[in-house]
Amino acid sequence: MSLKLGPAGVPLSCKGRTIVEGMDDITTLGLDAMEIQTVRSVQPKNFDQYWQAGILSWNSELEMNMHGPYYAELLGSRRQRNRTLTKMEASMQAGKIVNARHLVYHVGPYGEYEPGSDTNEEVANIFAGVVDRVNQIWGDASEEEDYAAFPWVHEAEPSLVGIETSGRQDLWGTVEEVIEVCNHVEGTVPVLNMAHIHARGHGRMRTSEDYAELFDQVRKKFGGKKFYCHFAGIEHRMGNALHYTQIKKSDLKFEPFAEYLAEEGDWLDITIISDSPLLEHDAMYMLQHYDKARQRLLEIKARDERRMKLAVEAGMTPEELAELEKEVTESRDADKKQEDTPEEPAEKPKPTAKKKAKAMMSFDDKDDDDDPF
Amino acid sequence: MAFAELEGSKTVMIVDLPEDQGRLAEAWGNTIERIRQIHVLFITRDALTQISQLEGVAEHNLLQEIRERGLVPHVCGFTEPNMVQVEHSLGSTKASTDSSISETSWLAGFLCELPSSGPGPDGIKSAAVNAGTAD
Repeated sequence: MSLKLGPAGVPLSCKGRTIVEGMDDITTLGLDAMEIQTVRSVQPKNFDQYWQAGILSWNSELEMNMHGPYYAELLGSRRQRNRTLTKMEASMQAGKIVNARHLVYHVGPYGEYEPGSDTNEEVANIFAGVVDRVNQIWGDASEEEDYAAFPWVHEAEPSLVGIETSGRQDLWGTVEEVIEVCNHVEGTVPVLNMAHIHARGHGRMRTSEDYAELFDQVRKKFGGKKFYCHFAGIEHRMGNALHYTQIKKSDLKFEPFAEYLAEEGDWLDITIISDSPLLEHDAMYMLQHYDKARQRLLEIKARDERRMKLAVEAGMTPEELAELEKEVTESRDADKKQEDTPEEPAEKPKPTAKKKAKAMMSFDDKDDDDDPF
Repeated sequence: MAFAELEGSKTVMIVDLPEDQGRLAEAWGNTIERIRQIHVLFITRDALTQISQLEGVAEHNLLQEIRERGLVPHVCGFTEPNMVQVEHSLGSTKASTDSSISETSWLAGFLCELPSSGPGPDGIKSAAVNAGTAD
């Protein structure tokens, strides 16, 4: 399994403000992806910075991605659509320079269209044009000499065009709509924004089974094993996203997703971008939870293997072994239920200032009243 | 400007016109890059006009559009002289302000009022009104 995690933008803790400095910080933090936000146009004075980011990305394992304009109105009037396409053009050009592996776009409001196949067809036609344009930008053979120092322009695959799920009922972009369009347009991929899917589904992403169902749905209808996701905490109401929050403060938890990835995600090649207000802090929080889930799984596997080995050594028959397995599973389920039942909190001694200062920082502190976020 | 409140650190950003107005697109682009990290976005009246032209959105719709697309918890600005509009997660509110209250004074008052004005749309409305009252 390949899992890449990173923030949507230059890390907040980064002392510098450029993309290259942000990339350095991301690598130092042990993360391996970055999504940069759209640009209106690449200013000549920023060209150096963008090319440097491209070179750094090409020579390292750091995956660069680019997010398109927030003001997308692809289903609006001709004027609105053209304005959106102009902004998208800037991000396509910039995507080539920074070696973006994905260009992520919103579609925007339904406008005068009704949700349904006709609207999806309209969106598919627009994105077919976008994919063509991306291929034109990347594959211009006459520019090969000009870009000799930037090999990805000719050697790498062009950026994939990602179509993002939306978090409001009045915006185009349910999971089904996105999959339908991606199925019809080669060169596009669904971008699963978990916060949006959770909000639009009235808080549907609660357990690891919910994630299994979502990924199975996409796998069955779209195929492939490459996934690009966004994750952040979200406040939502009536099936509409209100605003993003840090993961800890939201009813959308990362633990079930981590559990799913560790237990059933072997087949996935997935990039998860943190677009939480805490950017890299939450990206690392996710990484830590994924590592924990994997560790827990390995421990369970090792324990099971040891028990089987001991049972075989003790001369148990296959029937007896099956019976023993059943008992162990039942006891584990009972333990899990007991863990899930909230216990009366025991009175805790108040931590002294000295103890607090010595305590190691952990993302798991339940009573982190000092958490500035 | 980083602003502290009881629940934790919140970020307030004031969007004004840069000295070199030719760099507005660049400045607004930088704001968009950080839009997920902003909790209160205040756009001055001058900037509101320019940004609405830049985005091709009608001036009276701009604050709402920014809130909905950027999911910023509070987006506010003076849409008319002595009339402030606050777009927030729970809806929208307008409040008239005394003519002696400048834009930044209103924002300062709003930030001071917000933590103690109660929850929900009524709390936001009350903070907006109180901030606009000279006393």
